[in-house]
Amino acid sequence: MKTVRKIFKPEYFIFLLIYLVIVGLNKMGLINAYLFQVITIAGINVIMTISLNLVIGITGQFSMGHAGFMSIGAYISAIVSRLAFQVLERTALTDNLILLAAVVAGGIIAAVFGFIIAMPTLKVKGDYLAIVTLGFGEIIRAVWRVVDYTGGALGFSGIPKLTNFTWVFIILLIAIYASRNFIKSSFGRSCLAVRENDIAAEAMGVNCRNYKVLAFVFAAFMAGVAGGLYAHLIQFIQPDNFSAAKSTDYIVYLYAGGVGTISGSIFGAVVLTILPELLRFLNDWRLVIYALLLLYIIIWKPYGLFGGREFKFLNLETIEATDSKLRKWIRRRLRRKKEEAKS
Amino acid sequence: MGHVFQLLIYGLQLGSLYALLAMGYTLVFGIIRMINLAHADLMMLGAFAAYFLFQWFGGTGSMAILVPLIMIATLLFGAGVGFVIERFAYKPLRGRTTVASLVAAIGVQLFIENLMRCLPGVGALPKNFPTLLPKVNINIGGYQISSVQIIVIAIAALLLLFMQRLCYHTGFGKQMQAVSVDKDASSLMGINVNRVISITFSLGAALAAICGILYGSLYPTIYVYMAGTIGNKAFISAVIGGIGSIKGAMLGGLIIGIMEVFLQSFAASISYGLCFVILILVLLYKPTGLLGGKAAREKV
Amino acid sequence: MSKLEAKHLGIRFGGLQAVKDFNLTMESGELVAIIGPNGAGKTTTFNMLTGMYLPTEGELALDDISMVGKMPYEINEMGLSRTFQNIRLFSSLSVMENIRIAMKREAKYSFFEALFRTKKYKLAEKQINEEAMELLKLFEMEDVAGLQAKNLPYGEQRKLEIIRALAGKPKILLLDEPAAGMNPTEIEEVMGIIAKVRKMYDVSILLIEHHMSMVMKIADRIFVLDFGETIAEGTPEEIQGNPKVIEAYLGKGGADEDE
Repeated sequence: MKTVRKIFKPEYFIFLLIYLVIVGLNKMGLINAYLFQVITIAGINVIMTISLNLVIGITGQFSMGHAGFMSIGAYISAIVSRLAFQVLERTALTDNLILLAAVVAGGIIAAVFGFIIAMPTLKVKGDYLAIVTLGFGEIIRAVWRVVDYTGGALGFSGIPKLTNFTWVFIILLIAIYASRNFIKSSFGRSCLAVRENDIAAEAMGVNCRNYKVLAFVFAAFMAGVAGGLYAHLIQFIQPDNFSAAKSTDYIVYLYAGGVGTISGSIFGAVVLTILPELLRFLNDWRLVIYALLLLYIIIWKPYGLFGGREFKFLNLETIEATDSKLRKWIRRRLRRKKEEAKS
Repeated sequence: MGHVFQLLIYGLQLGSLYALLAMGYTLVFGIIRMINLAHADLMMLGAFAAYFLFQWFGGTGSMAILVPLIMIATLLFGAGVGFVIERFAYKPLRGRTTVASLVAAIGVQLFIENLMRCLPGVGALPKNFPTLLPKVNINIGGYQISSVQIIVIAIAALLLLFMQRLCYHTGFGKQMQAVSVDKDASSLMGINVNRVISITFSLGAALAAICGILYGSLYPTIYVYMAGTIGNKAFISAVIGGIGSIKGAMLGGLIIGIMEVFLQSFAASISYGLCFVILILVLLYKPTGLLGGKAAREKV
Repeated sequence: MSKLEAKHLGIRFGGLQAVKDFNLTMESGELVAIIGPNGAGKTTTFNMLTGMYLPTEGELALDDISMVGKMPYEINEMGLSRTFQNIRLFSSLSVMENIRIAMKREAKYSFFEALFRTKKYKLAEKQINEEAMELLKLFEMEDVAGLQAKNLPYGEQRKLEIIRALAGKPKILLLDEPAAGMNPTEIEEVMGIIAKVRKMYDVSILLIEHHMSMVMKIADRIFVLDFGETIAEGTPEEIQGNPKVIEAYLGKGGADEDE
């Protein structure tokens, strides 16, 4: 029985259910093509936010240029698929295989850039790191503007539509699990140590620099994959799609959902991607509401909308949520000690 | 050679605008170590304030009286908005991580820009900024210089000098420095920390609002989202010069302004990116900026 | 058997000679204490030993392998582990997580093995969890294993720092004022912990402490530092009678007034 439960964990059914419901509603026409596209983009945004969480939430390094890695993934994968379809016929099989290859290639190249950028960048700390990463994002964008092969500032058009909701959903699940397993390993723990106290981490044998680079490279890979999915969904990319504003979007998703937690990243990205669409009836005012909501969350909800909790299936420690409970527990214990001392 | 001189003038005028804005970034960062991403939006607000003031009162009185009045009103307006933003968006976050206040700044930025867009009479379309400053072309040794350029550079220089004196030669300046070094100790020494922070914010905001008028006078197209790249470049200026340093803001502004004008003339599409290349090179060479102090080393 | 050796160790910050000519040889299992007035250079010495400051003069070696120029994490890997004067826990992580981080050398699996949760990963993690729990049980902290470190009472936080330093199985343990800010009962408890550590683990201890009574009771040898110089060295009895030490603590003439 136990092994059966181990193999068929309830979460798998929930994922399947979510998937079937969304696809089913779409087939029935209750979710129109536009909203379906928005949901797919929300999935890509979740991957981006989870990836950003590894750098900001887990390792405590502030990055403001995450869209830069996404753009590398998007452009590289678009180049790969363009080259591939110059020699291959388009069939259902080649479509999926090429997408996979393109997306992985985009991820790998983004990771390589993550490494190249991380090495000098991580010399600077804190606020300066934010500035330098912002700079790298903008520099990458400037480079795409002058590369003729990818259309320069006008953009890269004619990318085949290979991404679909199923692909995004599968890769999203892989991202969630990979990120969870990372956090629950010695590698993730070392990154947490860097976030908490880099001097103590170093004294406990954690090579801070290496772990910062590791987090950066891992996150860049994920962002690159997300970029590849995005390019093959939207079919047209241009450098200005990946501006600093895009990077700040992900920071906003992360903080709104709950920085440091995977569940918060998922929640924040989904809600804040879909919310502006639902507020469309407010026309221009929707962005004002959106901004006010963001301010409300950041001031009054320090652990984000998801309150620093984690979905149970992730099986992660969440101390923030149980914080108050534990305080009470301590107080009780101290009282007991006092009584012991009295008697 | 003449071409270079002309470019230098353009660089100087752009640089003095960046320096004014950079001053605001530097003041705020210096005192509460926060990157106020919404700072440049105050410039946009200032430009629009002046635009509407001129629309309403443009016909009345002579320009010689009206323009200074508009400037003063804009300055006060900027200071007021700065005060309100600090009070309601940033103050509740004091003591939380710097990133939290950074996200709050993003929120404020989104709020200001989109609220302005929604307001009647503003909208998303660019507006033509009125000619507030007298425009006469002056010929110096064969080079054309407009009086607007001279006035802008002069006003910016005056304001910068004023700030320099305020920060280093007055009692309030000393209080600001004290708060930036240690808030708790300052408050023990009888400094009203909250008040100092509020005033600093308002000062930065007022400078930004004036900068809006100067910007509009030089480049007479204003629109709701104008803050974006200008703000980023001013911010880069502040960091290159050494964020937290007043002189650094001036130096950084001039460097970026002049560099940008020269780059624009032969590599327009990447000049923005190149600003960041310079920034990163400077930071890697000296992590606290050109005129920044030594990075405080954490005591073990 | 491990041996820590410092020869003519010194450091200069600009014009200030913070520590000068520090000589130490520590044999296995010894407990050596460093005492001295505030600003005497005790913590600076610790920082040099653990690689946080680069000494400007002298030599430093563990088991004849030089430690000069090594990064703090490398020195930790060589077998030196420390606590901090101002507590530096991973404060928003759980007590258990604090210990697990320090046991990173036990985690002998690769990045991809961790991502895919191979058998090797699972075995290693199981072992780490068990060992960490055992360690907490030994020091009676198992019931707070799930608490956030910053929520622990002050004394427990100090205790956790010591346990965390031990978790990496060091050869030499450096304790920077483990009893700072504690009352006599708590000091008693810290002494108990140190005694337990010495009994259960094959580890030498280097200790900075201000509480004389505690140092005199537990130290095998004592170094006295004043203005960066070693002014006395010896057993507790020798130190207690040393006029130079009394002078350093009470000022010139202090010794006479006492008589």
